[in-house]
Amino acid sequence: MNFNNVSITGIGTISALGTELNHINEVLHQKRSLPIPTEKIALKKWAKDPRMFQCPDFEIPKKFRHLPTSHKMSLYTLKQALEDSGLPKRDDFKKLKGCVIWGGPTCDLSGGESYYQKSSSQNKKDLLHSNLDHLSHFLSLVLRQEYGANLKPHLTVLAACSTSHHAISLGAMLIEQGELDWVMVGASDAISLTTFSGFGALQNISPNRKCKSLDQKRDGLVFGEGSSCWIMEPLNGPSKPKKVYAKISQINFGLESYHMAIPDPSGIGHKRVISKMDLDNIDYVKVHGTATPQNDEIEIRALEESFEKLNLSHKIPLGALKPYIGHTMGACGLIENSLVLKMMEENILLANLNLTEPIESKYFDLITKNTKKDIRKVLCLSAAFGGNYSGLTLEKVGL
Amino acid sequence: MNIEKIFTLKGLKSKAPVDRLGDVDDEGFFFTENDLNEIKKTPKKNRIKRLNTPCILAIHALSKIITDPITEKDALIISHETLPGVIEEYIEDVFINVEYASPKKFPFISPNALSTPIAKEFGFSSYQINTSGIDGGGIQALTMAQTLLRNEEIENVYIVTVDFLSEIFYKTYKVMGAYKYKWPTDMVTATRLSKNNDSYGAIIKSDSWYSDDLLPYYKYAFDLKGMKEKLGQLIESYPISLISTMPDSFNDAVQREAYIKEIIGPSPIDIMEFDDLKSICSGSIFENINQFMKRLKTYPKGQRYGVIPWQLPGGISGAYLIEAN
Repeated sequence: MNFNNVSITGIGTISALGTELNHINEVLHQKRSLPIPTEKIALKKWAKDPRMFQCPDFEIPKKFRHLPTSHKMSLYTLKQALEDSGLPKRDDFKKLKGCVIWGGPTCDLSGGESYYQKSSSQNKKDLLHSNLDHLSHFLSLVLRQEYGANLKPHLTVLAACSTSHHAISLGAMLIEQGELDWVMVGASDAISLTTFSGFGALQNISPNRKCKSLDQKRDGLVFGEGSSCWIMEPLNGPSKPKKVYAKISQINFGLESYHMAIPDPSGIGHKRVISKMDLDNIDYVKVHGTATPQNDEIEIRALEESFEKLNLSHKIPLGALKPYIGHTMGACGLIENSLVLKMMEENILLANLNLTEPIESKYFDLITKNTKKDIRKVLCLSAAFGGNYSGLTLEKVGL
Repeated sequence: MNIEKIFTLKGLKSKAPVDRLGDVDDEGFFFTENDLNEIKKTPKKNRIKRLNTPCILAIHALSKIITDPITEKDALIISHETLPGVIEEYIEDVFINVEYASPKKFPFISPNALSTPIAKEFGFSSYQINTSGIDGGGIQALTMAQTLLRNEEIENVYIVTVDFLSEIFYKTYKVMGAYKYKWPTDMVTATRLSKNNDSYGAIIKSDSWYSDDLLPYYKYAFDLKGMKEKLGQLIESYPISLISTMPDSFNDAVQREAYIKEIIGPSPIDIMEFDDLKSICSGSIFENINQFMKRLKTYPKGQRYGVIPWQLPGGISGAYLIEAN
């Protein structure tokens, strides 16, 4: 799908790197985040080392402190994104038609846990937040109550680790079609025992808790938690945004249904996504890069095949961001793409962390140093359990 | 947005099944073991091993409406409330004893647990998304379908809704008091929507809005003012023959009819009460559209226009303008 009129005008992000998107500057000064032992989950036997990329503490109004972590993170990034866009302060804000599209809590299996733990409760308040689409519904209520937003009813999206791209795509379509003046898209994922133990049982977690995306000796993922929220508006809309980070020019999806938890070794899922996209003038590729033995190689090979036809005269920088923040599941697309937007703003490519023996690549430079570069067009990929693949391109406006 | 085919299957009115929901004294609409055994006989080509019941239900429903080969221009939307049911057994393992967390079961708690086997069975290769919203899940799916069909890349959208009650979900809604008004319901539906004009009927206009009154997101209220305004505009613009009472209302039947009569005023528009409004499930909107379309077809051509107003908790309301071919 191609888009001409969809821009990102506000970002809110919380991850292990910090509570603001500007933390990327700290990263550049080597204050890098490392997975830390977490006591959020009680583990037994094989899982004695629960190191994960955990979010730092963040401030939330007292009346919301009883809520589940994913709610609190979502509220935090919602506020950040709104302030960043300046949307509520615009004179015509209450006339502008908006909508919340949020990655639902079942991407965040902590929601399922809370559901299980509270299912025997007789307290209505306990159970309220266990409804499946409660998060987007709840955030819409906050937007209406606290900001007086003029909203169309929310949408809840669930697609495992491709959730973010699906939420972005629906928002982009609604903007492009002229249905809405602004859309808030977001996703959140909190640390969860179910996810940790499940991936542990699948032997997908790095035994050393070191996320070595794109390295030949990668040995599994490391979990992270976080949330990200974007305000999306028409480039030529009724309201003038403070700034435009980038426009979304393409989004594509592909399915392969090879296995519930293993990607098709042929890379057909990624190829279905990439083959339909305009790849000219890509300055950087942000891969999904889980650091599992299966994923990264398949992803690179699929990219190589698709880029071969471009007859490139130079290698394209390519990176994975999970070594900085862990795998944040349903929220990973939005959080990582937010970091990409910041990289585009700063014109700096972040090095691939923990990369000592890169996967060999003919067309891509798996960068190991932070690099200054004018970044105008970026391809971002996502992949999810069950063979649900997606990709989008972000472009600086005025290209 | 053209509606080509709708298939719906709902459980029969009965006592809650003890083996699934525990020893509770509630009535609802439930699939029996016999129903499920019959459904499991649906022929499957590419099935992934160990399909869970919601998945088998979804494949059964889709097999009733998919007749043409699926291409990359076909999108799949799944709306379900069933994930708690799918995950509860696994979570129990996790909470009781971490080392028993089964690698075989874990992938089946992914949000793609339903969609992957379905996509594999029928050959969907491009766009697939899940949504969830209990009562609103079907309506969210319709909004997504409408959005997708405005793109060149998508020709048809298949929506499947699966409501197969789990103990966790049942208990939650019980405590919330939902079953005072509506009944727990097992239901599966499959609907094909397309750009094709030669169809069963069409949703030719849809609108949805929050009412002015701020409501907690779990409470219902009838937005009489909003409905009067929105439905009034439709009545002025189209030769509407039929209007339904609120399919998702917690209000009793007398109130529903009174509200609708107040909205349409002296207009000679027939009012249709759906056969059973007591179901709480994401598939109910499709059953309602199906019943509504059949009734609309009894009117002469040119007059086959009708409106289905709907409402959800949290002050969300909407209306579909339907034309039957």
